Amino acid sequence: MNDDFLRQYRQEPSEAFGNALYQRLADLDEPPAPITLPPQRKRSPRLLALVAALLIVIAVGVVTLESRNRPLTANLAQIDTRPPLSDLVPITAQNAAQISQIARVGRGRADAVAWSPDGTLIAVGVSNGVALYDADLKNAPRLLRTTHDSYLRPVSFSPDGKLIATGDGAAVRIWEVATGAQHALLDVNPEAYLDSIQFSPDGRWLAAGGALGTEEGMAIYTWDAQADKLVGKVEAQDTHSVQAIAFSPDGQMLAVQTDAGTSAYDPTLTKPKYIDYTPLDSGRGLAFSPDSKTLAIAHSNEFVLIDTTTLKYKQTVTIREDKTANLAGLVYSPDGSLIALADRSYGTLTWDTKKSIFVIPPTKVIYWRDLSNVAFSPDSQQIVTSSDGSNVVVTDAHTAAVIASRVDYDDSVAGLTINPDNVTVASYGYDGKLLLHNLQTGALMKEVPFSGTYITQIAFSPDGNLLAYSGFSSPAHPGGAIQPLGIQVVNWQTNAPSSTIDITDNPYFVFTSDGRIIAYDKNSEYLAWWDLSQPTMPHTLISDVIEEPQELRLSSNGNTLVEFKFGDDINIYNTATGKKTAIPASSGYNTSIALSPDGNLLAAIRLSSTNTSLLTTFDLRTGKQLMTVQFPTLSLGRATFSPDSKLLAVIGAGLFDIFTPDNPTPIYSGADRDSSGTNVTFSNNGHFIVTGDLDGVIRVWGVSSDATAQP
Amino acid sequence: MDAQNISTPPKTVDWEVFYWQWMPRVYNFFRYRTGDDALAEDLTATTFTKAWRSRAQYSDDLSAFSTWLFSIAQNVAVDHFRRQRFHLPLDAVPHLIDPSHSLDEIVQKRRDSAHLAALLARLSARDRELIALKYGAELTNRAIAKLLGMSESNVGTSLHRIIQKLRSQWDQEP
Repeated sequence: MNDDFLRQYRQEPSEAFGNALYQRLADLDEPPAPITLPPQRKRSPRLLALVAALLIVIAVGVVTLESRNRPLTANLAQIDTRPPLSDLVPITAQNAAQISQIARVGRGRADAVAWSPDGTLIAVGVSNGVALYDADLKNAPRLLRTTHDSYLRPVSFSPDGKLIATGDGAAVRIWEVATGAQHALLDVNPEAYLDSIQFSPDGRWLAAGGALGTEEGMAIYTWDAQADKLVGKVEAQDTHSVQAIAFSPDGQMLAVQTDAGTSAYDPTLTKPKYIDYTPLDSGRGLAFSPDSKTLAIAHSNEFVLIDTTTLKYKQTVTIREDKTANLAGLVYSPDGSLIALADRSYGTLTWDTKKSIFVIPPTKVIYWRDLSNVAFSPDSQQIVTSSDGSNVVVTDAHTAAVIASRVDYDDSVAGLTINPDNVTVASYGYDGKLLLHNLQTGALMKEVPFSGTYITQIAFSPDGNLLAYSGFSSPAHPGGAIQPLGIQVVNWQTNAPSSTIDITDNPYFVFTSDGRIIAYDKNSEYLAWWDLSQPTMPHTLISDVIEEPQELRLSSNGNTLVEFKFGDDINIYNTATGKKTAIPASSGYNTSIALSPDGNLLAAIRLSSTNTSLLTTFDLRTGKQLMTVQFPTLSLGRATFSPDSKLLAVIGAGLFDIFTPDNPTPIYSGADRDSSGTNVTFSNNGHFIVTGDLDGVIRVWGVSSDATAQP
Repeated sequence: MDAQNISTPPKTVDWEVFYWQWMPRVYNFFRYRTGDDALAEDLTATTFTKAWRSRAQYSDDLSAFSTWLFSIAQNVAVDHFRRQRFHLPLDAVPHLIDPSHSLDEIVQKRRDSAHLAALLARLSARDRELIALKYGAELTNRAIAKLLGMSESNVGTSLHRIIQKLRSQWDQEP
């Protein structure tokens, strides 16, 4: 297979960068540093100096304790609270500045995982909050919603199982498990980003750790879990962020792991003691044995066991001699007989603590390497793992047999479209899953069966009854070819196939307002339309198109059709006369277009040669350019017009802006938002905007009637 | 790793040569993975900083070191994406001003590179990692299989499928 086109993307790093990095490495140089020295380690003077410096920094960071918690009344925040879509007002140029995120739909990526003490629930930290599954994973989860956009979502049950805590950006959110009522919201430094959390086994303390400001800062907090009162705080810049935390069973010691090693603190964080100075090159994980005698610490390709009394190394267990293992999580079984390890390369492993042998050895990949965390069932017989995709899998702790699993998107939201009912949203992931969610309730309605490799486009018919999609088939045999599937049309409520428009190449298509489909017909080399009742019979629409378009847009009245191929002119057709006008691709490379529903305005996204993106709008009636906005990123994704053609929304990496088509100053700018979007579209009634994001979450944006009532 | 390594003097290895041999591969791994030149430099620096301190352990087995190096690189990428959450790169158009090429060639090169960057950006994270290891890091299927714990044939099959997908999209470009 010709893959030369892929090789040409290689680029030599600049000599200046190479020299600067080499000099930095040379500056780091020190005597060869032993990684593991069981049972006793020699400590290099340089490392000890680093340790001392770190401790000084930490000590400086320990400041006067203060309580910044904000306990809430028990019933204030129920599960899934958000303004209903009916409370939203039409988005206009006058109120668009007040737009806010009103809902998040879908579960998103899975991060941390915890098993409830009574064994009935599995909590998974997901992009959207905390998903509470029944332990058999059979039913859809309850979702305890958070507000901070993040992938990292630590979870911890209180020992009595009544509360569950998670990190929510710079806050800890605690809910009552039984009711979903929010128990408390504990604010910390706004610069903190909490990605580790744990109740102490005796239920007295709650600890959270993470990064401060950048990844170069450390933040650790402890609270009296009975009073939700802050009792300890360490905030230190210019050091290493927290990778993992673990309380000893008696609650008297909090182990904190960073890239620089592991320290032990008392619960009020006043007496740090460095106990493992092995720098982490990758991986994370900490756990105390149930008898408190041993602390297990994960390094990239090994874990070490430390005597908690003497703080001496008892044992080092190498996962793979070829150093290909990468531990992402480590936990003791409640009975202390096993240690379970989440390994990014070898999946779930278990190790017998008495026999010092692997029960489930690192012999083959069970899942992809993005395994993120692991937890034991209370009876020590099963383990549950989560992954950076969205897999949650329960396996037998001794045999690795899969007992239950849940999979949503395996990756990000790659595309979406809103049904004309303004409630149903269809979206697809990079993994080929095609899901339908109810925007009003947030519920997953169904998965539309798709047997191919991946989907390239979806669209609802104008009456909302049909869902059309294009994509590629699965290979018939390993290494076999994948084929374009043409345009598949199904009744999405019954899954009954409606039509198949068999087009040789992967088509970009649009629905007309009367339910026909327009796409490029490679056989005739025309733009053609199809009546879905006669899907094998193309009708010529425009014969002046010689290559399949990358994107195709049609105005609501059907009079204006726009198409382009990557990097080429944008061609605008009058569908009645076939007359073509073109916008030359004179500067940069067109990557996406949007046509206003009235057919009068066009927006083009281009990559410029100066490593920026350009959003340019044109008035097609006059051919004049209306505005150009330059974004300091090459990660501009898509643009879309509002139904009345008066607003233009654009989305990309970390940005979501709304403009009027003739003014380069945004009315609303979400440039600081904490996620990256792949798709954006207005609802058909213009009351809300939906974005599809890389964290696997669909976000709904709008202006509530309450907001407009405020002065 | 055991205590013997402490007293065993490292063999003479020209780490500078090794660095200049492998740094561009790590850089291109991140470039294919993230599509961002500046970010690729940052993550390359992070990877080498993590690996450098322990390099002496691999003095007698440079092949193991290179495997380990990419193992670190993979995890640096994972950690970056977990924390940063910004990865929708439609990529940098490379600054390719090569006097030996005509203006048309330069324009075409930029155009191709931007097109490919856009296609790579639309791959799933998994597929993109495989492409990055194959074409960015220029690892063999066997090395990728070892790194990812997959079978060599599985790597080949997966790459074949991804390349087909990219090829079909690439061919839409005149």
